[in-house]
Amino acid sequence: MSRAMRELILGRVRPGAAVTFFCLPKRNVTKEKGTPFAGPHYGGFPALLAKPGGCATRAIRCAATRSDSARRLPPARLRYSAARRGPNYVAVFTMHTNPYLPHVARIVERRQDAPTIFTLRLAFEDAAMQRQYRFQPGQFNMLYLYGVGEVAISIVSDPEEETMFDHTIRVVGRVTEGLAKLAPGDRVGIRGPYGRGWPLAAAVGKNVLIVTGGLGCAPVVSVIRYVMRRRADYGKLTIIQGVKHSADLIYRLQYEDWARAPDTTVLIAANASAGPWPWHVGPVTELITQAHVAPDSSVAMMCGPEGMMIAAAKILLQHGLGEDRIYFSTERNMHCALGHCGHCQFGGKFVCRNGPVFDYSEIKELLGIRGF
Amino acid sequence: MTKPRVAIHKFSSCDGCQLAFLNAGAALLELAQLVDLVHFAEAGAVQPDAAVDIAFVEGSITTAHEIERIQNIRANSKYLVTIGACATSGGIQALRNGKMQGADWIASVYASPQFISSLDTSTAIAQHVKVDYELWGCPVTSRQVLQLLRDLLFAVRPKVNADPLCLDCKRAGNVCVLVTRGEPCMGPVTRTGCGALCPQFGRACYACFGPSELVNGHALGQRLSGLGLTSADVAKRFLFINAGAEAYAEAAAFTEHKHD
Amino acid sequence: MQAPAQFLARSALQSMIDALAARGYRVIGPQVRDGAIVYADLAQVNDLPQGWRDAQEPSSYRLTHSDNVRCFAWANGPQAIKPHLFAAQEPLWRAIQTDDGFRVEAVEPDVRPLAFIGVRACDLSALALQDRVFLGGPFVDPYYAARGTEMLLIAVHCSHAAATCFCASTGDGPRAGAGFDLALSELEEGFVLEVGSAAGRGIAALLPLTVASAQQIQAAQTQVEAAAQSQTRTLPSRNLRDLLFANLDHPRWDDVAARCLSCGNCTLVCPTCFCHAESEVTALNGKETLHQREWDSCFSAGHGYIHGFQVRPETKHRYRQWLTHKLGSWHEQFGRSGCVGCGRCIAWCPVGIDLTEEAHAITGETGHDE
Repeated sequence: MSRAMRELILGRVRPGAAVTFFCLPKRNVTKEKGTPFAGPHYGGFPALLAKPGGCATRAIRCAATRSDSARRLPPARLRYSAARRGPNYVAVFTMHTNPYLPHVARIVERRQDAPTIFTLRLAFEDAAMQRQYRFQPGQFNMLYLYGVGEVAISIVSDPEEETMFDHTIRVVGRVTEGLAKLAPGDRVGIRGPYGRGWPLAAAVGKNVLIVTGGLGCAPVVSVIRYVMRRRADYGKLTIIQGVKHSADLIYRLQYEDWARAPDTTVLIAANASAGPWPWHVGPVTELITQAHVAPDSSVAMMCGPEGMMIAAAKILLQHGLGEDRIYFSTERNMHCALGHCGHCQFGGKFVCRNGPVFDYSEIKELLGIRGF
Repeated sequence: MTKPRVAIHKFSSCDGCQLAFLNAGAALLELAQLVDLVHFAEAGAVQPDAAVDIAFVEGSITTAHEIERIQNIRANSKYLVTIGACATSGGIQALRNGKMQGADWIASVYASPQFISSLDTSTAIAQHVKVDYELWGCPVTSRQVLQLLRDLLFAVRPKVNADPLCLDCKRAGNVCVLVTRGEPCMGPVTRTGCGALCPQFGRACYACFGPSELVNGHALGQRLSGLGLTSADVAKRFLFINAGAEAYAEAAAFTEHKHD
Repeated sequence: MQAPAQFLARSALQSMIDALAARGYRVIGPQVRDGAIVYADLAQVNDLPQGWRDAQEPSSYRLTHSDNVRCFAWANGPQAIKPHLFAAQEPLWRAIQTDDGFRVEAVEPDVRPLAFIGVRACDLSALALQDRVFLGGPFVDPYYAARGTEMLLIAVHCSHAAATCFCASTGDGPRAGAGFDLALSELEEGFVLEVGSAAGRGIAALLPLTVASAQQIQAAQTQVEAAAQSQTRTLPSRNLRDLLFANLDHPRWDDVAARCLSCGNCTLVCPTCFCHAESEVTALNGKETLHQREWDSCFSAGHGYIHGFQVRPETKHRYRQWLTHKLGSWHEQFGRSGCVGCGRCIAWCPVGIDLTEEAHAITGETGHDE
């Protein structure tokens, strides 16, 4: 690492940041760019990272953390640490803020979307952090409710919107029921963004098929809005939504609105219906044939109950869509979102890190198997 | 802002769980500022029929009068929370359930049984009225009741932790008394919450916090038999403080049936 | 770093503890407590478990004492390094109420340099694996990292294996291969000493060493080989991932679930298990709240819980998660099996479930030498 790089990194560590120094064998050190998505934990700065597994040998490690201020660790101490290990070792910095710390964000606006679904529009208290904050549709944040805990919620706003970001939340547990009671001006904690989002760059020029089931699935809503705003970049957009009962359909006006957009088809199915229902009655999977999927030029993105996604994927496969063109947004228990706590494992995958969006081929082995 | 109104009621019990409030020290003073303690006979406030936001109930139902009282309390409370083994599973006094006839029991204990008027069984509050939250333990700890109150003050439902005691015991760095000394420890089937108090002092857990989430009574019963306990001894390990807890009653019945 | 082996007389062992303490290390070593070998602060050689042996079997751990002068003639105890770096319970940060919301402050861990005496080969392997979990990914765990600051590791090659040990078959022991600063082989008269790092060399320079004799080196070699030979349990060292995942419907999962208590002891004594849960401890007045983490287990209810749905409702699912992860998906995640052959999950299981036996039954791989 050049002296200039070290100065750059150390010089821009903000209060509350932790800086970790490692002594590693030279052969284990590689220069990489920081994460592609510059969240608050990387602050968008490049970081020198060890090669995977490079930290494995304890005897060569020497770490120090600072989390109270941006004080500099004396370079002499670093060089000493490296030198003590022998000529083949080098001092390495990984620059990061403490990834476990939430950052305070303010509720700018609150919207009730359905009896149990609401949207929070949020902005970081730290204006610089808000400006710097970048994410991809399909990624998620950990939302912290003071005194209660954290919960993983996907980000639904457009990534180009710089002044705030949105979370659509369904009341399902103790944290979300507490979040539902907050009002504009209240504060929450935010860590993120985490995970791998939708393959929107890879889908440019292709038809996009959205399949979703249940009570309005926030992760795909973000995709639909993303594609709508960049309509020329994508081919045909088909939105398939399934609900158990016609009365369960929320965002009804929204769907009608989307249906009027150019080159966009909206297909909705209810297993059962009551009252005027212009759409299909039957399982949502029956609509997939109607969608006329062109296997060579389509990408499917799905969110909802796993059983529905699996059934839909099987039909899409029969239509000739490749396994690597069918994407699932998955959900598992999430505590740290950093790949450390182990809760979100799906076989060998960490949903927080390798997902939450996976293509079918990556997870098909364990799909639908109780216990994973 | 009006303070939430709280009542602490006592049924058939030893009063020990109410000490979780009385022994909370400085927290008790803080509590008095956060809530309105409208009924807490042991601490002086007596308004048993007052409408409240949260009613804590200690003790089991053992008399006809108690059945009336609990229904009244239920009608007057927004949240009803049982505290302790008696209120949650019937307590140690549930040992009398279904064994001998109530009259025989009473005659064997009291010199003048004609003065005693009680039901044949000791039952949990939940067998009579809807219970919103349960706190297990004999007795419950201050930490449990205060954390639950804090959650309700934050207007979120309290967190339930039904993990086996072994997890807390290992986190505390205790050496397992079952594995090193063959003590008949009930930790693997007992709900956490006590801080692994007994194993910390080299004693086997005796299940006073009630059943953990998944009780494999058969497997633990077999292991305890392997340590030299008779089937009756094994059954007694399950049927003690929480004899009325279904998972324990099943485990004991299975053990007795298997070996008799 | 290989240098000619040196020799530390038994009578000079205290000088090693003193040298480490003089360098500012908090010295941690094995001692007898509550019927087991535990690692705790060590000031005196006299506190080492001299003359103690361990007899381990499924669900049984017993120590016996004799006049033997050896201090390390045992295999292991319920824990070793893990709790000192990956704390069983620790605060991560606190949030403090302010007029318009709250602010967050990190809680800093104690970062005093640690020196471990008597670390086993399996524990070094496990440490390297935990490093991969907490340091090797895109996010460095600052709490874990801080505790490893300037850590010094003095291994003792195993001269005795317990009946529950199978490190020879996993390739992790009984000889400590890498990751130590110093390694000792204990003989009656003292210790053959190897240097594994520059830091170790610095400590060795402070000790009254002589050159080890050929006989001493030979004796050290022979006893570690004997410890390997004496192991009867085995785990196929090859990657079991595909075999395990091809057998998710094997009847053995039901069989083991009938015996398993779902108590999580196996996971909390495992030196590589890393699952932890975060929770909140709030002051009654609500003015301050502590966000903490503690060891969790794939056997707990909270592990697989997502809003009203339990991913792993039955013991069968939980045991299958533990075994398919430990011996299977670890390969995908961290490049090797998560098992280092220490046998703790066998000895400390209250009902004596034997991981090696279950793995053999489910994968159909033979090699279990009864």
